[in-house]
Amino acid sequence: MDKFEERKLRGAPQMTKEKSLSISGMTRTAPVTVIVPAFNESGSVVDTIQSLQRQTAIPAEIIVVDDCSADGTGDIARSLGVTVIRPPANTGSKAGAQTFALAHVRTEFVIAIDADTTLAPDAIERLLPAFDDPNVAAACGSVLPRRIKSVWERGRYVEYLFAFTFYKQVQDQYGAPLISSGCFSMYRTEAIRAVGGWPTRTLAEDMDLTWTLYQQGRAVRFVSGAVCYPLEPRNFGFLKKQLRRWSHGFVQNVRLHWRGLLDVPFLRSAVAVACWDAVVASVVYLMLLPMIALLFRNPYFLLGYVIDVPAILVPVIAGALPRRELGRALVSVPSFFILRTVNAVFFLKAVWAEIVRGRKLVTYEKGH
Amino acid sequence: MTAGVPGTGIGGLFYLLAALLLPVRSLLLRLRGGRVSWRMVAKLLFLAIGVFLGIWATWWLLGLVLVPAAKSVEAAIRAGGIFRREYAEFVRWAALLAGFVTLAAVLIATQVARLVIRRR
Repeated sequence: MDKFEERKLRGAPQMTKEKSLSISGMTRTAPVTVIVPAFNESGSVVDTIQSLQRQTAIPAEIIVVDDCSADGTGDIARSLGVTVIRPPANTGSKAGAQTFALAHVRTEFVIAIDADTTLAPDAIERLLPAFDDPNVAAACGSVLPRRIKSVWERGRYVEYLFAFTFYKQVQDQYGAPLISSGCFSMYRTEAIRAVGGWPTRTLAEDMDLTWTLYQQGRAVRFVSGAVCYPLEPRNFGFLKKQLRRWSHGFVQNVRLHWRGLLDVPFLRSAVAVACWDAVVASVVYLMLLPMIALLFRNPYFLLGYVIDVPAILVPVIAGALPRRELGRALVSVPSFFILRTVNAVFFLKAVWAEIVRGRKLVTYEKGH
Repeated sequence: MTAGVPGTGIGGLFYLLAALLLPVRSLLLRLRGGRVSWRMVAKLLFLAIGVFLGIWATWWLLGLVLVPAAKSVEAAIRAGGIFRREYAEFVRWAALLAGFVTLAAVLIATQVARLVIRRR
């Protein structure tokens, strides 16, 4: 009998942290249900489930939402001993699939994890203490790409090293992480139910949910030691879908929440600065620098693309050193500057479409 | 930067200042009975000092880049044919100042927007 079955036999209609502590000496089962939304994820869902089953704090239940896959995702997941549920029709988004599963959750906490993401063995154990504060509704950890080969994966690797070593930790110290990452976050189940599940009104459900929680007076935490490893886009096709979703999602959330965010200290400033930077940086990268270089016929101006490399390198090196990945990080730095320019293209397109033309992107396209 | 969102301009300055102010904020929080992870505060402070040195290096690099660039600018505008080092110095200081002024403007605008929305 495995630990999961053992917990089921005990019967726990509402498994709480307190109850789990009393049995933790025997099973180390965490009062957590993991929801894995999956649409045609047969190639990656096995790794995700196995990483959940190998946790030092084992989830009480793992629910894979087979969102009407055509590649046998559900059967594969079932063969690994987890609960598989299937909606009558494709829900159309990750958020929809997650909310579909929420009715089946009977634990105090719920984790949302992407079907292409694996966890460090102690990730769940490290996230749980964040909920000692009853006001904490969500907690997330660090994100690092699982595979770092292509230019896009390398660029994202540097982005993550920078953001999770510096920005996100500062945000957490000020009590306002910008986003509880959608690829791996833990939530208090009552908090998620209180807002009606994961919202589908924007393409960035994680940002929408995080900002909604703040406006309700709830807290969100970032735990740097809880690490997850998603698959990042290996080619431009996947990157395109992901960046379209992220950039449109960001703009949609700013439009939706800006009034409410004004009452959230630190976050209002962080979002305002991010908006300014994103728009201005995009204009500088895509228009100003090449125009000035052409105007004055001097390629030196193009060094503006990489002029901030010393400031970027400090958090990147600080993040890579403890992982003994300094060489990999340094080799990846040039890719970051390529990705940053590509980000700018997608961000400006999103601003143009959403704000200038009023065309809201509503189709959720999966891109790792 | 936030992954997928371009830019490290005034965002870099914002987080640098936030990290440098963290010890003061944490001290005030502690005096009010709050819990503070001094280890994390120290880590972020050292990181901020490193980033500050990085920005200083950027500023220094800007000078190196601007010397030859300024020559071409001067040639382009036909300002007399003699290169003046002051152009590069001016642009370098202006770039640094512009970052802080822009950050201050964005933060003030956010506060003003908050007050206006509240009054409505």
